[in-house]
Amino acid sequence: MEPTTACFCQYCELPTIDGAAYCCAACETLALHVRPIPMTTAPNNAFAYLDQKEFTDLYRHSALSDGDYIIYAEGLHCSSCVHLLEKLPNFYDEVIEARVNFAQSTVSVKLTEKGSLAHVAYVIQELGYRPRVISPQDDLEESYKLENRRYLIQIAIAGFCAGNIMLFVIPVYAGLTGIWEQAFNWISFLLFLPILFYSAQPFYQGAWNSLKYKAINVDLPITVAMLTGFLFSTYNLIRGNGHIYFDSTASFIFLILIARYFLKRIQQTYLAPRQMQSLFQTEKYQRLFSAGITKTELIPWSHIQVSDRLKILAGQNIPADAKLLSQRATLDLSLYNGESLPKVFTEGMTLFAGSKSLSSEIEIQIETSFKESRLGQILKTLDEGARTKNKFISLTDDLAKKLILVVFAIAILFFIGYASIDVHEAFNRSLALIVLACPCALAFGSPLTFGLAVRKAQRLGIFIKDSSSLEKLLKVKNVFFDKTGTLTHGDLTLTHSEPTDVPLELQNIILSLEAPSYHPVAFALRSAWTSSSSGLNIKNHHELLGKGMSGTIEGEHYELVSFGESAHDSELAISLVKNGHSICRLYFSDRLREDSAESVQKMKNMGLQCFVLSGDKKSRVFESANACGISEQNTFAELYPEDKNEIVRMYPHSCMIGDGANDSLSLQTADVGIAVKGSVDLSLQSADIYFTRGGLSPFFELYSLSLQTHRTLVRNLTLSLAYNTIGGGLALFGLINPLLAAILMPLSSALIIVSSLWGAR
Amino acid sequence: MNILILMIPLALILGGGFVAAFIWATKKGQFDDLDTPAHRILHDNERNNSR
Repeated sequence: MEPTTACFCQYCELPTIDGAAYCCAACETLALHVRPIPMTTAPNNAFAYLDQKEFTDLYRHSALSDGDYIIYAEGLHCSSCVHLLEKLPNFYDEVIEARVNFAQSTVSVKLTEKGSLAHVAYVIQELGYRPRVISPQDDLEESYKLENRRYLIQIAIAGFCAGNIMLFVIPVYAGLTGIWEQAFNWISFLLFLPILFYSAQPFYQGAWNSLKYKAINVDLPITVAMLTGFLFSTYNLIRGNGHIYFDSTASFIFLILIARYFLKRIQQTYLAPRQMQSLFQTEKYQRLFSAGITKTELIPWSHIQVSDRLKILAGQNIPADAKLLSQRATLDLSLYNGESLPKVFTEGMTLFAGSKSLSSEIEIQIETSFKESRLGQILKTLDEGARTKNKFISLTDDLAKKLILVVFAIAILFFIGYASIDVHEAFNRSLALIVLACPCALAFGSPLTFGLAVRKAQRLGIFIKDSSSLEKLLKVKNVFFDKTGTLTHGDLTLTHSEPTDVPLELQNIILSLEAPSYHPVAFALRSAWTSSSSGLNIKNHHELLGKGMSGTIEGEHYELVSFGESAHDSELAISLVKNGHSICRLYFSDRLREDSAESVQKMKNMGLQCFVLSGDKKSRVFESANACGISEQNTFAELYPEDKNEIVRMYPHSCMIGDGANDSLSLQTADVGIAVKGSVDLSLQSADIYFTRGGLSPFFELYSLSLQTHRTLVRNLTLSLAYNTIGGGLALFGLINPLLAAILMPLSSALIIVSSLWGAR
Repeated sequence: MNILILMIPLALILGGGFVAAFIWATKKGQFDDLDTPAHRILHDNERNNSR
């Protein structure tokens, strides 16, 4: 064993990679130099456009929020990063304050009147992060903030009141009598009022919805039990004798509120900006002033109008359906319709919103607004679909429904039966039954169990937006895969070549020719030939739009051109032409992920039926499906997003796994929609679950987590039902008193907590 | 027992004061971000660099 030396960061003492002195640029900068960074203007500052009014208006946050601008800093990962970014005022005088949100990887920046947003972005970039300014409507944290604060205050008030009620009730249990007993009970009554009118509001809301939509949820029995408990106790208080349950009722409200807040906070991390790969929102576009003049201005995505002429750079998305003005262009359609190989378009053809340009610079003219574009239409259906997503009845709600029916039936039957013996006692005991049979342990155990499970999933790189997906997943019978980007890598890899071994000097020539290119072929070559260099001196180096690259190296003229899809159709072939003669051919295809075939097999063994739904060409889809072992009648190719959606709709208990904008509809329709790594924001928003690790293997971890959660849930429900039966039974036999209830309540809650924690270990 | 007439309101006012303080802190955003302060505290501010 070699001794490990200098493996810790000299600044923050975290372990470093390859024995470097600092773990990240932040630490190095902090240790070596903190000083103002000079202002830079347009050509050197890539963010100069941010100072235009259109952009500052777009990004400025309301006066209510923490800062004027919120910037997502990609790469923020340790305490030094927090420290460094909060020192922004030291780097730029016009920054009044910078506050980091570590969980979200964002910095809120307050600027003076003449502060420049462009320079802030530039400074952040200079400090070693990739800044992205977040507009107010994309700032999800902000939208949760007020809701979270309100919830927290409701909890605080419930906690204060419940705690004090318990203190005042102890002397009563201990045998206090007379005027002071009355006084203490009245104080309990007064302390219960804030809970009734303020803290319990979420339950009223839920109970009201459950009546309105005729789908009984657990809020209804809680509300009923709480109101019954309150009215019953108040009635007995006024009469001056009988049972008073303020303490038990108050404390279960408090506990349920806490468990729900916990689940809520954990679920909120689902759409942190770090996971967003935005399709448009953060993009800027170059608008040409008028034909013939090459002058351009930068405008935000939202300002693009019909008939605008735009200059699209390599890697940018087409913002709306548009006509191609340049002669040729290569576009990557994989996110738009799932086609795995780039496609060449010629002048006058319509380019669809959501496809990505691979050519270095093309001109387009916008033909429709985004809303009317094909993608915009899909988005519209998506919004409508959100409201009509079919209702799922969770185990907890299902049980709550049965419980409320059974309890009311027993209470009424008992009252009728016992009334002939003693009307007053009958009334007392049936009301006590309703209070005690409240499924509070159930209502409190479920969010706790789900919260713990969602948190555990997050550590495994699985983000769950809606915890009920954990239950739904166990019912899934049909699994639908998107092909491009889900079963396959979604980008090209070099599969073979002629000659089989490309000599190093040819590799160098090819890499040098491809050096400025954003074409997937260029990326594939760079990752395939890591040992060769791309530094050759090329004269007359230019892109043949939609065809390839050309240039002259040491007097020899080279062209790197695609000769269309090769005989296999599932491959893309390019050839290197030297002075008009082809000397080398390279073949590329979108390869299957390493674990796809194995994962599909495993799912089949679990009894799941697997399908492939793809927008790609038939031959490619069938080849991939075949390699994964998915039969031909379960493979569907050349589908539009709507077709995918229809197929998913036909099969009940479905799970859709996909990544592209074209999958968003079916992700939403499926009972469980899973977005895989590299998904665009559109599909992320409509999916229920997001895998931050590539490949399909997280599915199985998720599945076993679901099983585990289900087991815990069933155990909790059994425990709480046992509690309800005992409590209810005691109430009916007239054996219950408030003291016993006050002991049973925390006991059952403690049992549920232990059971939940044990289940999530 | 008459001391209770004084003690009980006092106790409630004291408790209420803490609730009020908590509500104030919540509204000020003290509990919005629970992760960053844990990192912020780790580094001393070097005074000589302040503006």
